[in-house]
Amino acid sequence: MISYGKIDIDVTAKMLNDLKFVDYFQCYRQYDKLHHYYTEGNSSIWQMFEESPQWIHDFAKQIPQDFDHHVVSVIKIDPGQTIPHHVDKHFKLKETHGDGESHRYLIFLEDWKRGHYYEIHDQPFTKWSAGEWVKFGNDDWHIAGNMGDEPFYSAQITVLKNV
Amino acid sequence: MFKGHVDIDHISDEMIYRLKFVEHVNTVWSAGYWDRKGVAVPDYPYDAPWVHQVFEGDCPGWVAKCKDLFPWLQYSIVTVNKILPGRFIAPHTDTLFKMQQKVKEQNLDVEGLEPIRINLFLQDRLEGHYFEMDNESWIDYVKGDYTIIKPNCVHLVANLGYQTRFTMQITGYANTEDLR
Repeated sequence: MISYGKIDIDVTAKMLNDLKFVDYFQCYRQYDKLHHYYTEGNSSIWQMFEESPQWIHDFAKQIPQDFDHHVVSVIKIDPGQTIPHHVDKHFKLKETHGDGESHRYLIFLEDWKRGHYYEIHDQPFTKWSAGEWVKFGNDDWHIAGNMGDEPFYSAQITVLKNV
Repeated sequence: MFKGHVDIDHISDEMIYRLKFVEHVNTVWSAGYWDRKGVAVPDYPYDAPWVHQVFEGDCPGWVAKCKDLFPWLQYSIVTVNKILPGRFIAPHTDTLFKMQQKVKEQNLDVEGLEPIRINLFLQDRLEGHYFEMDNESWIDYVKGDYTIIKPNCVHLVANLGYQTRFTMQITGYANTEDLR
């Protein structure tokens, strides 16, 4: 089930600019129709994981505490890039902490800007404010993209409840 | 954002897919929008900001006939846009260049009239298809829905899905009274 909420965050442009991204990679294309249109050129993103700064890790204390384990990451989508339709399987989390029910919190780090786009289960979600989150499961198909002129930053807290 | 609807059920997907698009336009310059805004032109990946277009003179009769759906629009001209998945038209304002050209060439009397563009959706909204104008999104349009784009309205359109996106643009001059 998809749910929505908000945490209090105070992320400045400097904090975002100071993020040192190292990993830049092409997004997975999870079915054939996507292969033709989405290439390294138009569907690549920056991402950092456990090396994220402490203020990102601290977000995990603010979301509902109904989980046993979690991992964090930050994604930066540059203008013109799309993360095409996909589901997240949370492999890393389950590999480390065992099986269970996993979910992802997508936390928007800035107020919505022109051309920034997120869609889940065919429902576009725009005009968010900083700190708003969307919680979704590992079978929820979603898309994100940036047709604007400024980077689109989000944090991901992926949580696992062992069963 | 103005939202209207006309019945275009007679236009099938097959008719749309059969159109031959004659121009393939890179929209990165956004008709000078970035320049006017005083910011750098975004470093979009080369393959992303593209639109295919066809104009009424290169289209079958049903395309030009769509002008009849908007009898209050004068001197109108029609374009069909096709945006492939992963492509978009970056934020911009319309210059209505072809319209202005027509007015000049044919010495049309447009006094007291306002130039506008109608954006007519030729399909129900599909996954990843997006329209945004003046910071407002239209996320639940259906085939036949349309909006009015005035020349100073910043807007963008995108296809982040996996199916081709088609819209029709009918540009002309309207009476301010009719626009109300």
